[in-house]
Amino acid sequence: MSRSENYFLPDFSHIYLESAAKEYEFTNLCLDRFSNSKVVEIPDYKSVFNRPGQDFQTQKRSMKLILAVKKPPFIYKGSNMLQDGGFRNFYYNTPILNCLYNCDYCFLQGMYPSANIVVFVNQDDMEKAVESEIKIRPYLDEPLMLSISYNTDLLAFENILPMTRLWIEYSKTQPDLNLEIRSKSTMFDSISDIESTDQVLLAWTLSPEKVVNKNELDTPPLIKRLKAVQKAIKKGWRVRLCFDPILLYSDWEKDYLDLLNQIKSEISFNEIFDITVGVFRMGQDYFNRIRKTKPESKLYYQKYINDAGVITVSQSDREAVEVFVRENLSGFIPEDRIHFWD
Amino acid sequence: MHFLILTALKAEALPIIEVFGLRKDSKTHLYQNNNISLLITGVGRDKTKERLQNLHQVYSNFDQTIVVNVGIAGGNPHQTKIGELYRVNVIFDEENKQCFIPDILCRHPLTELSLTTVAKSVNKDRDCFTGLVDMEGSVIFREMSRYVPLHRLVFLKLVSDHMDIDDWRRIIDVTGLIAKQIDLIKSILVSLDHHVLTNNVILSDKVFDMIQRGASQLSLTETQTHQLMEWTENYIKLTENDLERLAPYFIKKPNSKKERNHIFESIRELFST
Ligand code: SF4
Repeated sequence: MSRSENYFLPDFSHIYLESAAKEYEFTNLCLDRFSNSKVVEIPDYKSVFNRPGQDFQTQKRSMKLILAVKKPPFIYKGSNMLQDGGFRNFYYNTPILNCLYNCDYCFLQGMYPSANIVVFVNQDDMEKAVESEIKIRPYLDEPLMLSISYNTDLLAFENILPMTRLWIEYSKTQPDLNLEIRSKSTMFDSISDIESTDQVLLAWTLSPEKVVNKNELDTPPLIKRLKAVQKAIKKGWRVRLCFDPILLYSDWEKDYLDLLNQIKSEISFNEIFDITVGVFRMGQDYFNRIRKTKPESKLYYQKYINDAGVITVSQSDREAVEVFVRENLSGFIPEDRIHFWD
Repeated sequence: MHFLILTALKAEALPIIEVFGLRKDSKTHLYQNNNISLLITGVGRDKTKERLQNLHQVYSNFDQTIVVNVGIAGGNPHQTKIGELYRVNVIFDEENKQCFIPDILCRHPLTELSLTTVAKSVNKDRDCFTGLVDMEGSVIFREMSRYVPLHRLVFLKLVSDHMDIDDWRRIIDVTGLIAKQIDLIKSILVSLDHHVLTNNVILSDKVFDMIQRGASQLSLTETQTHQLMEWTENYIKLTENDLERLAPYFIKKPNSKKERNHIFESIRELFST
């Protein structure tokens, strides 16, 4: 073991407990689960999470847990960075802020001043807000599609708190609600006993092993993600595959071709609900904030364009990605089931 | 790493000065030896604030510095033992009701407690205060967090009393109390000394100076200088080549804005190739 591995405290060595979050069920579950953690009571979660002077990447080496009560808004309209995958009533919510993983392309590093993980314990309030929004959704003949894993990887958290399970069970009580649960985790096993429902879309981000190792720090290997995808399909779940972001570097085509071939050999595309594809993109404020910290990742030193406030690759690179994906998936999945971010 | 130790009293500082062989610099009033510096701030908010606000005039190596406040504190009689050393994990400011939280990311051997910073010594209603009580902690946090990230702010407090004396000046042997824990304090500093805590730097001092001098030679605007720094960082990160090819662009002083902008564009082209 290198000195730095032993140098940092384990994740969740400290739990910062907002006074108002005491006595919630999620709070008690977390305190039981991490009974050796030092609990520090705080007046407001922002007094920890929003402190100036935090160092996101150093904090990632010893993430702390913050338990808090979310205040409104509890639900948000989808942004242009998010792929709506063809759903017109597209929303997201934030049951958790931040992620157990540490992908170098992740916008969370620029969005939040802290790498610590905030769990909002007032699930009931979030559910009530969803019910109200369902009633006033713009396209009443279509369901409300809610992404519950937008600012985190919710499924990765499942052995800490069964939030994905609760949201799935909740969706079954709301016929006009669909959920998208995007993940890189292999924690499908922890929800595999739940009866599948067409209201829930389980989405896995897949990347070449080289990208997983280099850019998706702390995430499960590709092969394990594929196993999780296979199991979910077998249990009857609707599964979306996400190639997002496709990272461009010399020889990217070769690695992504190998990836597509591996998927073709292990998964029948007939059984895939749809596919989303995107390139590296980030709001310029987030990008600049990350760049200021002089990150290790080379991603932040490459050439990009600024497309109306979004830092991304050139239009020609975007087109190259689209052509590449269409060519290599042609005949495996209908074109209208491949969605590109643009 | 460098350590900047802050104490309120000379009596607290003496065992530290001795164990690290520190010497006073008569100009800066800092005690120093190799990577350790020590500043005596004085007691109470106002003195501490004043000393720390002027600190940048005598100390600048903050990119690599861990700030450690070592000092005596009153302790809640039910939670603390006299003579014991504690690590502070949250500071409440009694006066303005603010709360300050240092990031504790690295392993350490101490019991953690909260600290309340008060304006006057506490000798009654002591059960109102949990953990520890001092007179400087919140000010040190506020002032020093302007210079270093929160994981490089460490508060070590040694319990000198159970809030049962009316004046801290009556604590007889402050130096002796600290001296008894000096080995522990030293071992904590040694265990914190790890390069992973320093700020990320791409441009070495030498390259940074070269760019600064070059920018001034070319009379670049602030935006151009910023861009030049950014291109240089990109170039170093992506190519890991040295910057010798850049030096010739900085030789000649341009005669006009037009010429300056022309050179600037040539540098842009150099980097983009
Ligand atoms: S898994 Fe998603 S949310 Fe988590 S770090 Fe990676 S990109 Fe960010």
